[in-house]
Amino acid sequence: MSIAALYELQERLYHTAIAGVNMINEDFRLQRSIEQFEQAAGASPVFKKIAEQLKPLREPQTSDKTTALMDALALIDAVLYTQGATEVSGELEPVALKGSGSNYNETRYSELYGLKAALTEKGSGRYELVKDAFEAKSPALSDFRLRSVLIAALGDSYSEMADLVAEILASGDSGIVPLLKQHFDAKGKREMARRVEIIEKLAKEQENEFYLSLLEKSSSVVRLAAVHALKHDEANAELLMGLAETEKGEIREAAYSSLHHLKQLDRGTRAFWLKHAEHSPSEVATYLFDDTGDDLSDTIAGKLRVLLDALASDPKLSEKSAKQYRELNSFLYMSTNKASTELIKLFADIAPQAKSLTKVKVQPTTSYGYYGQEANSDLLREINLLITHGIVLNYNERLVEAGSYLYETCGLPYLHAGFCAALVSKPAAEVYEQFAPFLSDKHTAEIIVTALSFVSYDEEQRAHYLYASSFDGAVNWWQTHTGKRLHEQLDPRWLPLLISDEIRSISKYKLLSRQRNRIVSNFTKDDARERYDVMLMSIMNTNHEETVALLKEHFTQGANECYSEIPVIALHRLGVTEFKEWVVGLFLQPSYPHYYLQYLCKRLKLTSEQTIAVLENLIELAKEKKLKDRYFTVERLEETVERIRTDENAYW
Amino acid sequence: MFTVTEELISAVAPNAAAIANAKKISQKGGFVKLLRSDDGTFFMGECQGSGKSNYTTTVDAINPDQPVFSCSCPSRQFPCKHGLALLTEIAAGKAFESCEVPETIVEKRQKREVREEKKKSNEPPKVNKAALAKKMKKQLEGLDLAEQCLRDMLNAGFGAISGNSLATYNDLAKQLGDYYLPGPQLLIKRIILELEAIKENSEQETQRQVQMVRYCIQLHSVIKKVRQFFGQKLQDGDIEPEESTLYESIGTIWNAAQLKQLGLYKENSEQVQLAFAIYYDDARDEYVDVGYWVELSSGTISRTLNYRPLRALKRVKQDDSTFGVIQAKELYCYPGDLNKRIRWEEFQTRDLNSADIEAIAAYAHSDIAAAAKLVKNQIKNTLSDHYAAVLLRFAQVAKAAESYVLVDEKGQRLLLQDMGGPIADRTTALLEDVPNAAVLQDGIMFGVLYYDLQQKRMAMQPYSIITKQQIIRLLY
Repeated sequence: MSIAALYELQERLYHTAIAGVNMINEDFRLQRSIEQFEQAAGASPVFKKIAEQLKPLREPQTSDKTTALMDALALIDAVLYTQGATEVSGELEPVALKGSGSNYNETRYSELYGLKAALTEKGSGRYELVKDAFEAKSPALSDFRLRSVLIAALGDSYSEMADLVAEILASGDSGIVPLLKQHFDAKGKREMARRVEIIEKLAKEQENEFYLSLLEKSSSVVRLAAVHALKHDEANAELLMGLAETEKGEIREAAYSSLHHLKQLDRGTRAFWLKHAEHSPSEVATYLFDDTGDDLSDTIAGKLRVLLDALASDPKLSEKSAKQYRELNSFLYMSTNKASTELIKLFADIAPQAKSLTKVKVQPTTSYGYYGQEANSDLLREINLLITHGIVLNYNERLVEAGSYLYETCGLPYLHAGFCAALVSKPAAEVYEQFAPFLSDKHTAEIIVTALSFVSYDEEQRAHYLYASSFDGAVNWWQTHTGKRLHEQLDPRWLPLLISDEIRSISKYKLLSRQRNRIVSNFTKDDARERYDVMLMSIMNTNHEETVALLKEHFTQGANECYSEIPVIALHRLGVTEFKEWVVGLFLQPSYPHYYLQYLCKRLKLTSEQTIAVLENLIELAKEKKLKDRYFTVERLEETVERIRTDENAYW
Repeated sequence: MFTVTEELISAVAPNAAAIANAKKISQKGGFVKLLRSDDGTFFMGECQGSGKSNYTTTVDAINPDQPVFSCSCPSRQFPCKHGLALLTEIAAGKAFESCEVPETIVEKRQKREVREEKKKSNEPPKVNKAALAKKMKKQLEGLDLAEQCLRDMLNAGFGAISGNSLATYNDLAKQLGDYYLPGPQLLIKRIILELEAIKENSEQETQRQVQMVRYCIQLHSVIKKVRQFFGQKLQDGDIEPEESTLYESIGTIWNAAQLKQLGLYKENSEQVQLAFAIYYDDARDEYVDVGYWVELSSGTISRTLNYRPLRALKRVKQDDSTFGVIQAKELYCYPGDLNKRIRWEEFQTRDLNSADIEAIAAYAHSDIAAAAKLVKNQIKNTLSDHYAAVLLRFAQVAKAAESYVLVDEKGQRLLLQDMGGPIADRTTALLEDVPNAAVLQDGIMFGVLYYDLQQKRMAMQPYSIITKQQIIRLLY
């Protein structure tokens, strides 16, 4: 009797148990199996024993067949377990490792499982968990046990998570590239495009053949990622120029971008850029922004001269023609960082038409996005700003000279550019003496004060820097923006002059108000005053005792009046540490939004104890019914206090 | 000498967030005062709190392995972040001023000593024989009830079990708790869960029904064997518990004193964790933290099982992976088979070193057939687990067709695949992700050897690979 018969018997008996022992008498297949088994029971003592166990199942008079069935199955199962084979047939091959460069880390279950769950399940908080691990450079993220999970998470339905995972993988080892190419679907969606992007970051030109293979028969997102990836191999230049000529939309844009990245200097590529600069300026302006070549500068000067000649006779022309408007703006933008003789001559030539050219409205070009732009910029003003921008970026050293030349030659139309050029090239005292007198006239005061709002004091470097746009009040502004160090620190005499009543009231400083800066405060009762105070905060030298004393007095007055958060923030920068009265005072202002309170406390870096002190003050006021805020009731304030006591980082 | 390590802080902390908060307090210089006794057994810190007054936190390390915390903060967490922060300060080697051990602490120490002495005394715990006998009889009654339930199910067949019958069986299962039979109660719950799963989705009906039969076989075996065992004990007047896995099968809850009395303990045992996982047991309504350990002196592989009821999750600390060597002052072993359940109370930790890894490797089976035989001897017993964790030496891990295969030095092969079951994590596929190919040559595999019911053969799910330098976990 073979073991197969025992397996069959087992199966029949399981079936009986499932169907019900009551049906056993009618189960002829089972009866036959048992009969056959009994006949062959002599084969071994174990089979004999099984047969004995099975007997009661056949006998109609057996009252308790369930016990007999269970006993029989227990025995059969036990016998079959001991028969379990271990051998595996087939030819052996080594295990092909997927990729390389992974690690094993002794990561605890609490962390590793948490990451796995965050990457595979749905729910809130998972993004933050993965992000925290990434920011803390947790070794768990490079553990081999998470690799496949991370790759699968590139297709996470929450795109921010998928993008974060892409960032994590791109910061790791290039050994993961083979895994990313495994099961790659060229017709796939964003998930596959992310894979290409990661491969590009890790392998760059080494996978050029892979990128080229994706140019045909792949989905649009994958193809786009592939065109971007072509930027690492110079041999792709011709192909990219061809794509830029023939393709449209994102692919064309990607071709330009990749070609720009290659920074080819050969004649063919140069001719390509000059041709596109002339005929498709809006499409290539971004890529030629940092190009300082005189050939390009002259091309731009030629096109601008034609446009500006037309505008001189009809300043509203650019508003009538969208194409002309676009071209004008593109050429202006492209002219940043350029200083060829032709271009500077053009700027000098148009100065006499300043009055009519102020009517030519242009799109602000010198910006880091929306903020830092000047609302309603006009042509001549914009030229001043782009010269300043070029000075700050410092790609073309001739721009400092150009700014000075234009001011010296043409005067007031280039006051802003001339002042900025002087700040970075002349002694501080000389700059003060030359330009401070302009504060006495309301029109020129606007320009000088606005230009000063482009200057910011770097506390770490202990120096003043010129920026391309107005300081927006952000903490550590200088760490996220490019600045050019002034030739010398700003002359301290500026400040007492600027805070004097005379200068503050000489103009309404509308130009300063036009600077689109990031929301610097959440609450103000006087925009113009606030903008002026932001400018002061920007240039204040916090290492100069006299300046600090002077400005503490100035900002304390503003803080006491509770007109804005800016004086309080400025006082924080000046080293003041006690803010309770002012924070409470601001909060009591009729239009102060309750949800700004936490922001202000964090902005001032109040400790949890200080924050609780503020809230306790508000509790007292609420109990006295002096707090008109409907959201912050006594109960809510007390609950918030408790929450902060339990977790100082609690959100409230 | 009280030495504070990261391991100690992790071991005493209720969760990871508490450790993070403690580190923040320490980094921000939250303590305005740090004091310690001259003998280095008592530490006190005054910490800035969120209230007007500072919090006073103490750590009594008279027993360095089990520091005792106290804090005046209102937090209900224990130990709180201030206590953990004080440990962090000690670990960072910050300067502490000298102080006396407060009188209150001295008194508490004395009371603790008295309690410890009572525990340590050689007097066996008093056994109420009459109560035990009464309990046993109650248990036997309960077994009758369970048997009736089983008979009803098997006679009628699973298909005939209706919603009403399910409700009856649910009630019965609850009742078995009153008969001190959590083991059989659990088996009936498992059967009910399978039935409910089939009613919801009939896709895996056959597999689930087969599983139900297995539970029935197990239940029948428990009833039969325990009835016989307890019946005999009552007849002989030998009421006291003894070392028998039958107690495990009815779900007996042992305390340390009982295990010690039965001689089921060992002193100064060094344990190294080889794998760790957590799973949720539906039938228990509990999370189970399972750790697999090897004893350095004997090579015995055991398990720690930490049960955390769903309704009390916040109050029971979750276990975690451990990477050092645990030095258990007293190790308690539950009755069991190849991988007995163990637990300890007082312990110290030290780092794992290469000599330890060498020692572990020496315990590995070098013959697949011998290891399989050992495991088969266990799994043929109806009341035992149908798998056992073992250490197996291999010459290589390879592939045959699409299957992973472990090959021993004699050329014998063993199929490697995931077992399924409570620990649902898939580890076999990770063999293709290991850091380098050398890991799959000449090493030791730790995993569970089991009988695959579908394929009717033995297989192993790998949990860890031990190289000459380290233990690489495929699980956690």
